[in-house]
Amino acid sequence: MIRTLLVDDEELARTSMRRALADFTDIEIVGEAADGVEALEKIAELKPALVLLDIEMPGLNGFEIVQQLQSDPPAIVFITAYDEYAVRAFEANAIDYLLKPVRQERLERALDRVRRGTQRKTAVADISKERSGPLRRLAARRGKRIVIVPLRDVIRVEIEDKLVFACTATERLLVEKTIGELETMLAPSGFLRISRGELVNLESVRELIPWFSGTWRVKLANNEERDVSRDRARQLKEAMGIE
Amino acid sequence: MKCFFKWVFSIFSFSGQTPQWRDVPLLLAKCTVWGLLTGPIIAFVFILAEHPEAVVGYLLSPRELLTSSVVGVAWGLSFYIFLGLGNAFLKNWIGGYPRAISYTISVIFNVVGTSMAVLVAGSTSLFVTNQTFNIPADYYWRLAVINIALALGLGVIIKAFIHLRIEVEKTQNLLREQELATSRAQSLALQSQINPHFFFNTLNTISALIDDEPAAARRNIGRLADLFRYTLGCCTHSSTVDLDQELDFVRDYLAIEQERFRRRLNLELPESPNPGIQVPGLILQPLVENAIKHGIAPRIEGGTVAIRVQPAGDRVRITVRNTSDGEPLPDERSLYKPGHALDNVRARLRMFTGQPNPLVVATGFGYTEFGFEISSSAAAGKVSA
Repeated sequence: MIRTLLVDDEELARTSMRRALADFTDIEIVGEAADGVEALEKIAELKPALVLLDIEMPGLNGFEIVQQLQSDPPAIVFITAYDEYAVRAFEANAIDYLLKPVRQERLERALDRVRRGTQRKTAVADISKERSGPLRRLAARRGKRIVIVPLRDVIRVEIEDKLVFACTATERLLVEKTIGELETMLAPSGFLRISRGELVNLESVRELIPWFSGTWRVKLANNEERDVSRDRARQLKEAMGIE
Repeated sequence: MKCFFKWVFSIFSFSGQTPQWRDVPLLLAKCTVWGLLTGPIIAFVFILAEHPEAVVGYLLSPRELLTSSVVGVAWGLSFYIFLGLGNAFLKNWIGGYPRAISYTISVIFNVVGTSMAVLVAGSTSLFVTNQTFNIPADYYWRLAVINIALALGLGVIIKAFIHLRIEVEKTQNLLREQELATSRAQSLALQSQINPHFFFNTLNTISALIDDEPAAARRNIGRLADLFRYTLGCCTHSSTVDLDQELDFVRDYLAIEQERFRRRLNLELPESPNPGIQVPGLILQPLVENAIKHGIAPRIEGGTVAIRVQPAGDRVRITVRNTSDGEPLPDERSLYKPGHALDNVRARLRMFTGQPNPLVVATGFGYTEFGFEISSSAAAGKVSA
C-alpha cells in the first residue's frame, strides 16, 4: 500500500481526487490537508510515501511546502489547474504532475511512476526552489504547532544545544533544519551567516561596530548586539555594500 | 534644382501654426527668392502682351531683368511682411477675444496691411522702374494693378487652399484618433477577459460536483456559460455597459468562486439598482479577481470581498475592497506592470474618464481597496464608439 496525503485547499478538489483514487487498490489515503501549514503538520505526523500536492494554496504554496520539507521527503506529484510555466518546468525535468480536472489515465500514469520509485527528488526540490523564488516565509514550530513566519519578521537564526531557532522581535521558534541547510535556503532572501552558529537578516542590521582583533559586532533592529567572526566580517560588509 | 524649387514653394506650406520669431529670417529669404523669380516672369508676360517687339530686348538686358526682379521682391516682401506675417502672429494675439472683436481687428488689420503693402511696394517699384524703363505713367499703373490683382488673387487662392488642407487634415486626425481610441478600448477590453486559471478551476469544481450535487453542477455550468457569453458579447458593439449588467456579471463570477472557496470567501455586494450609469465593459471583474487573488486565496482563514457603489456629488464612487494583512502595498510600478490586469483597468479608466490617475488604491487597517469615480449621468463620459 502507498500511504498517500491529499493536499488541496479546495474541498471539492479533494473530493474529486479521493474519488479518482478509489479505483486504485494500492493507494491508501492517510490524510488530507487544506493549506500549507496543515500539509507540513500532516507530512511530519503521518509520514506518507506520496503527497498529491496542489500548487496554488494559501499559507504556503506547493513549491514552498517542498522547500520546507526535511531530509528524506515523500514522493511528490504536483497538481495544478493552470500554470503553464510550472508545467514546462515539470516536462523538462520529467517531474510528475497532474492537471485539474484530473483525467484517470493521466493519474494512472503518474501513480505508475511513483510505484516504480523512479522519482528524482532532487529535481523536485530544484524546481520548487526555482519556481517560488526567494523564500518569503519559513515554517517553524511553536510547541507542537507548525507556524508560518514571514521572513521579514525574522531578525536572526541561532543554534542552541544543537537546536535551531528563528528569532523574531517577540519570540523564538524552533526550526527543524540544520543551520547549514538554512544558510543556503535563506541566502536568496537576504540572510547571511555571521558566525558558526548564527544567521542574521540583513534587513534588520542597524549598525556595524568594529570589535577586537578584526572581528565586528552587528547591532540589530531589536537592539541586540551579535558577534561577527573574522572570516564572515568581510562577506557581511560586502553584503551591506561597504567596501 | 528640384530641391531648390521645393524649398521656394515651401513658403506656401506653412501649416497654420504660428511661426516662431527664429523662423522669420528664413521666411523672408524665401520671399525674396520668390520675388526674384516671379518679378521677371510677370514683367515678361506684361511686355509680351503690350509690346511683343520689345521682348527680346528685355530678355537680353540684365538691367531690365534685375529691375523687374527688384519689383517682384518689393511686392513679395511687403505683402508678406504686412499681411502674411502680421496675420500669423495676429491670430495668436487675438485668439482669446470674442469672435466679433477678433474678426473686426483682423479685417482692419488686413485693410491697413494691404494699403501699406501696396504703398510700399508701389512706390519702391515706381522708383526703380522709372530709373530703368522709359515707360509712360499709365503703363506703370496698369503694371501695378496687374501686380496687385495677381498678388491678391494668388493670395486668396493659396490661403483658401491652405485653409482647406488644414481642415481636411484636422478632420482626418480627429477621425483617426477616434478610431484609435475605440479600437484601443476594444482591444484592452478583450485583453481583460477572464483568466484561464478561473476557467480551469471552475471546470474542476463542476467535475467534483457532478456526482454528489448534480443540481449545483448544472447551476455552475449555467453561470460559466453566462460569463463567457458576457465577455464575448460585451465589447464588440459598444465599449460601455450598464453598471447593473457589469454587477450581475461580477455576481456570477463571485458565485462560482464561492463554490470553490466556500466559507473562506465572504461577500458584500451592492443590492440597490443603479440605473443609467455606464462603465467600460469588464472593468470590475479584474478588480474582483485581484481582490480574490490577494485577499482570499493566500489566506488560510480567507476574508471578505466587498463591492460598494456610493454616490459622490454628480459622480458615483465604485470600490472593491478585500481583507489584507496590512502588508505594505508594492510600489506603483510593480502594481501596474505593463500587461498586468490592473494596468489594463487603469488604462481603460483613463480613456473613459479622461483623468490621469483614475484608479485609486487605499490601504487601511486590515483591508486593501481599489476605487474609481465615474459620472453618474448616462450621457456623459461615454467613449465614442
